[in-house]
Amino acid sequence: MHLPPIFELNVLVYTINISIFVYIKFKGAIMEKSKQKLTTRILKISVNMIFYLVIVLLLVFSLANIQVKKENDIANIFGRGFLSVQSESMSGDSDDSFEMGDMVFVKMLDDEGREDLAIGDIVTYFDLTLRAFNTHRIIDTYVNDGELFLITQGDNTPASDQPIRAAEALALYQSNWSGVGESLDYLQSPTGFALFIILPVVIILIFEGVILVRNVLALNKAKMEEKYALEKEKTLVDLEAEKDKIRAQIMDELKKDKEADL
Amino acid sequence: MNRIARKLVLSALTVVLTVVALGTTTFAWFTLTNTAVVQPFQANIVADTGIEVSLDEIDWYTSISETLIETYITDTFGAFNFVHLTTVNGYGSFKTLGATGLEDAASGWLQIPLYFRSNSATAIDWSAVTLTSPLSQWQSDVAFTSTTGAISAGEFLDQDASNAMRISIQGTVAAANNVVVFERAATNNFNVVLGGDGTTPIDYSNAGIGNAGSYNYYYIKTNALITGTDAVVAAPTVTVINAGAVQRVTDLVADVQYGTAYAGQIIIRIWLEGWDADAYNSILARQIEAGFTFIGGTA
Repeated sequence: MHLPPIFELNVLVYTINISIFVYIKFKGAIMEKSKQKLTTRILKISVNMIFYLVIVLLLVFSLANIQVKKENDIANIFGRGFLSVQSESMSGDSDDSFEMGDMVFVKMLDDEGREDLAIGDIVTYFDLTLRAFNTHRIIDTYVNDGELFLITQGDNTPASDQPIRAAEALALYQSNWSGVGESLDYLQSPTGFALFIILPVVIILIFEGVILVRNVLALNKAKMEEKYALEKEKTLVDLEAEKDKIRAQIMDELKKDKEADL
Repeated sequence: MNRIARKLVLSALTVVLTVVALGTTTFAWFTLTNTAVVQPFQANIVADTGIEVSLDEIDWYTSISETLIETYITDTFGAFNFVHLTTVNGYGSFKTLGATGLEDAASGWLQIPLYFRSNSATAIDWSAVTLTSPLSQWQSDVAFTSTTGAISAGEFLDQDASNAMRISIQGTVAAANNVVVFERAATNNFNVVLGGDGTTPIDYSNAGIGNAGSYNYYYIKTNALITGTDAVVAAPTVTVINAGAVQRVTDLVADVQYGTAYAGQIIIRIWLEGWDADAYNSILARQIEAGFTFIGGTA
């Protein structure tokens, strides 16, 4: 049967359309799959990064607290420390004023750093009467018998503190984080530390332990499968060889029988 | 390395990291729960050759370090703070000073028992003492008369907290209670030696405005004097203890406990004398350091 050219053209266009449609569908499915793969990969990388970040943060916090051996030691790491604000003595209008419940970041002072202290700086020292740290602003300095003394005062206190030796200044205020002082206090308490630092590490350890065991099992399984595949291949080769051998024997016997018949 | 092996290595490394984190956090937790308190008093004790000293009758040393004494103070007194006290005999009846007069004190002084054992010495002599506090500055909020002269409001003055400290050692000499109280000499930073005889009242009221020093400062601040300022009875003190002026603090008796020939005990007490002219409130925030040396003697 000979079809009219217009019909042939229609069939051709129709076929091309279907082909394009199938191609687009196929391409779409591939793209969808690769998109899913990419999303999963990004998710996996993000989770891993969060995991390592959490571990690093927990480690840093722990290492900072290990520095605290006496009540006049400030939790710090690499010379940077943190303290919670216990009173409103430094609340005020200055840019660097802070309030009760804040967390302040400080830089630990060495002898060189103490020499650079100036009026307006905020320093932390340990008050033996209060048995607590005081972080107040330097309002005056003077030298007595060759030794530098600092007079500090809270931005919100009516009178200055008694002078302290510059050597008693432990740290210099750097910045603050509003409203997280109480959380820091709780984290630094034995209960808070156990609940929010040690417990997560234990949970992560159990989780990672399970993953490790699963990976070990998976590796063993893969090794077994590989071994089995090799053995199977070897058996097949042996079998083939045996078959060839038997075939050759049969051929030999047939040949011998034929020769005997002749 | 195939995919599974790579995953396994990563997993093992993560477990190692987590174990390290667990170790670190646990150690940090122990640090957190074992933070040592800062004690306002630090001391070391040195004993002469042939004598051993102990704080607990178990561990014996020829010298007891600051750390051991600090640990003893923390274990016994916790976070200790000195308060203004007074005693007429140097070993008991400690009283606080206040606007209403003297009241029995339950705490505020340090008490450290010290045990001795020796195969040769039959007595213990106190042969040297150091009592110091880093010289600090104090800014007076009012005009008053200090032991160095007139002070105006806002003026700074040097303050030596050791001037107001007292150390007493109680032992047994010739079968009788024996107490030696030490205070700094007058040569130390304008110190005014207080030491009385333990019985005779001395008037420090200075016609109602208080003698120079903490008496007058208290008067200027409160417009009154502490009840009893006009009849202060203080324990007798010595101001010099050295090789040329040793103090017998206790006899040793035949040792039946420690495996040596002779043994004995003394009690060291340290307090801040409230009647002292340098007993300002600000010295409560100061660190005191002391050193004791004991030599063997013959009873």
